[in-house]
Parts: sequence; C-alpha cells; structure tokens
Amino acid sequence: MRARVARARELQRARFVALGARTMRTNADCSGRILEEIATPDAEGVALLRQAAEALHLSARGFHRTLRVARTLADLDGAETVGRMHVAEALSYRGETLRQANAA
Amino acid sequence: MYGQISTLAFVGIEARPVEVQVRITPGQTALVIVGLPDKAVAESRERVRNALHAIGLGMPYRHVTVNLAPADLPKEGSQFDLPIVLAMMVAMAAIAPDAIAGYAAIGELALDGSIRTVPGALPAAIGANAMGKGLICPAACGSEAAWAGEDVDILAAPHLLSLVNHFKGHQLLARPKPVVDRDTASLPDLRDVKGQESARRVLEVAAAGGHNLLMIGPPGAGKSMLAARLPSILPSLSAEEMLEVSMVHSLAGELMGGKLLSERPFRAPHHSASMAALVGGGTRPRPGEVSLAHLGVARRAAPAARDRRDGHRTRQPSRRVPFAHPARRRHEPMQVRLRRSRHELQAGSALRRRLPGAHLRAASRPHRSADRGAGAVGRRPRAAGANRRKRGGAGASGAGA
Repeated sequence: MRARVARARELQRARFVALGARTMRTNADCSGRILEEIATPDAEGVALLRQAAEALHLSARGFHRTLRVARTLADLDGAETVGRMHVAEALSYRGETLRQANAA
Repeated sequence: MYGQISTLAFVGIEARPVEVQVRITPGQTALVIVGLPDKAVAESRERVRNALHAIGLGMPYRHVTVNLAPADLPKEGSQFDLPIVLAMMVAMAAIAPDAIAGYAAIGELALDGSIRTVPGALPAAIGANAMGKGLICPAACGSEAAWAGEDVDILAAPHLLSLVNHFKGHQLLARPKPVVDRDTASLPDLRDVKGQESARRVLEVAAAGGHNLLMIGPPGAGKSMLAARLPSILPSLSAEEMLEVSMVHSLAGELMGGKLLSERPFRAPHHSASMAALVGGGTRPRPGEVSLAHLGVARRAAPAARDRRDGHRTRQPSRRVPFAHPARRRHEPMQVRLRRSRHELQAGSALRRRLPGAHLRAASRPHRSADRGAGAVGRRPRAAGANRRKRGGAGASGAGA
C-alpha cells in the first residue's frame, strides 16, 4: 500500500514540477487554476460532476475539493485523465451520502 | 577592551542575526546586560561569571557592558550565554578577535564551564550560513546543526576550554556528522487492522493526495487505530522535507540527540489541549501541535466535544497557521493531514442540541443540514434563513433520489 501511495505522490510531484508550481507537493495543495488544468475529467465525468453539484448543492469549494480527490484517485490508478469512475468515488467520500443514510 | 560576536535570536522559525558587543570600561565593578533581555538572558550574568572562573579567568574589576543589538528586538532563552562569554573573552584578550569573527554562537553555560544543549541549533546553523558565517554550538547539538550543509563550518564544543584550545590550535574540534533518526520499527502497521476494507481505501486515498479526513463512528469502531496507522503508509520525507519538519521540532526542543526526523510526525493532542498548545504562540512564540505535525498527521479527536474557537482554528486546514502577538506576527508552517474523528451520537437530537458541536458541524459543513439541531440554528440567527433554503433544497434532492 505504501508503494502505491509513493507512486501516486511521485506522479503528483513530477506533474507540479512540470507546471512550475514549486510550492505544491500533493493534490491537496493544488490551487484552483492549476487544478482545472490537471483534473478536468472526461466528458462523462464532467456530466456526472455537474449533475452532482446540482443535486448536492456543492459550493465552489466543494466542487474543487471533489475534483482534487478525483485527481488523486486517478493517480492511484495511474490514469492520465480523470474519469467518471473517479468522480463518482470522490463524490462518495463526501459526507452527504453518509449522512443521508444516517438520517434514514 | 572591546569584543563582539554574532549570534541569533528566534522569531518563530526564523533566526534573526544579533550582535553581542562587550565593552570593559573603568568605573564601578558590574556586569550589565542591555538590549531587551528576558529573565533567562539576564540570569546569564551569573552563569557567565562562574564559567569564566571555572576556566581560570576572573571577571575584571571593571564596568562590563553587554549590548545585544538590535536593541529593540526582544532576546529570549539561554542560548546567549555562550556568545556573551566569547565576546567577553575577546574583550579580555583571552581569544584573538579574528578567531571568532567568522562564527555565530549559541549555547547555554553550566557553572563548571561546560556547554549545555539549547533548542534551535538547526535553524541557527542555517541562519548563520545566510550571514556567511559558521556556527559554534553545544556538542550535543552538533549533528543537528551539521544538516545545514556540507560547507557550513560547525564547531560543536562540549566545554569552554575545548573551544579555547581549538582557537589556540592545541586540540582541534572535528566537524560533527549529520545523523538521521531512522526508527521505523515503532510505527504501528496497517496490517493490524482486520477487515475495514473501505476505511483502508480511504486512508490510502488521503495519504496519496494529502487530503484531509473526517472519520465518524461509534466508540471502539477503530477510528483512532486507523488514524495512528496513517503515517505508516505515507512515503518517507524527502531531504528537503526532513529539514523543514526538523526545523520546527528543533525549535520546540523535541529533536532527540541532534538527529533529524526521517518519518512523518503523528500528533494526537489530548482533546482538552488548549488553543495555545494546538496552534502555538505565547509571549515567546513556540510551535504548537499543528505545526509539529507539519507534513505529517494531526489527529483531532471528537471535535464535536470541542470548544468552537479552536475547532475553527483547525477547521480549514492551511499551509500556515497565523498567530498574532501584540509585539510580533508570525506564520508557522502547518501543512498537515488533519484527521478528525467524531463519535457518532447515538442519543437523539435532544442531546445533540445541547452539544457545542452542533455549531461546529454547521460551520465546518455549510451544506449539511439534514440532521442539524434546531437549537444550533436558533443560536446562529443570521445563518437560519440560508439554512432553511438549503434544507428545502436538500429535501428536494432527497425526493429526487
């Protein structure tokens, strides 16, 4: 597991160095502008994210947070672009789904 | 009858250059220290007197003035003993002025003339290097200071006499070797966790992307156990990160045996820790728990039971934690995986309404409204309208799903 984590972090480091963002080390440090550049999902992912943003009332911050986690999931998979799967999993880690299950 | 040497004062993790000037003039016999010394610096008068006596040098029967310049920067701690005594020895012609001109010095003196360890040797060595000088430091701090760089001249002396002998060329001090604390055996392993596949997956994601994590579950579900095992799947610190983390720990006086940390820190402050303990501060600003967890993991248990003020301080994790003091304003590094956990409340909303956590959750999760107590909304009247709107929205989405 540690090896997978290290590989994902190495991907991120190389990407940020290539973009000239020296202060960033992990996806969590990533600023909005660069995030849009590196983590814009494919068409299906975008569609899902837009739909979820509507349904869950995601704020702009929540939107970016989801993208950030989705980028990490793609990194763990070694995928070049963020796919629908990654967006879906990232959304599942947000609190809303959990809390709705609790309320029921 | 004049001597001077450089030293460093710490403002946060930054080391500011300070010059110690000593002048011996005719007049009433006294040793006076000026330049905003705190109590520990003022008391160095006795340690300096005794240390000089111990190596066979008496205090001159003259008026000795010690000035710590710049005079408006407060000087704190005991690390000024050594520069004061060295400048004094130059003024007394016991050491040649050019012998120490290329050095800054930090260290505390014992009454027998030995040099005791002080916190902050690594930032001091980096600060000294920035001034284009070497560093004279206590022997116990040598291996820590040596991390500042290959080309930084470090003199790590156990005793005042060994320094004098070094300058006279009788017995040269060797450059200390940098040491890393490679102690991975003590880290709890994720293998101890049975099952919990989804929790392990989330831990892996948080570790890979450096994301924050909120764990919710009943007592005994394994939240703390999982949290304690997060550092074991984080990659080791790079050389640059090691320096960064160790600088903070050095200032807090937590580096053991002058070794640098190679593993990421895991901090789990007790849930009753004060705000100052968490974010640092005080009249002598010191790094708090969140700074000590820089590039590592900070565990905040049960924020629901916490005072809302410090909940907010760590609510939005940031790279730097600001703390203001009337006299100065500093930003300490704070780049942590904030790992909060909260016991799920089994009791009904009557209990929940009384808990201050109702605010906290409301504030930390602006878009959560499903189970917020009415009491909390009542106490936040301005948010109430917005919440009602959102609640309607959440209801609609719930119906849609």
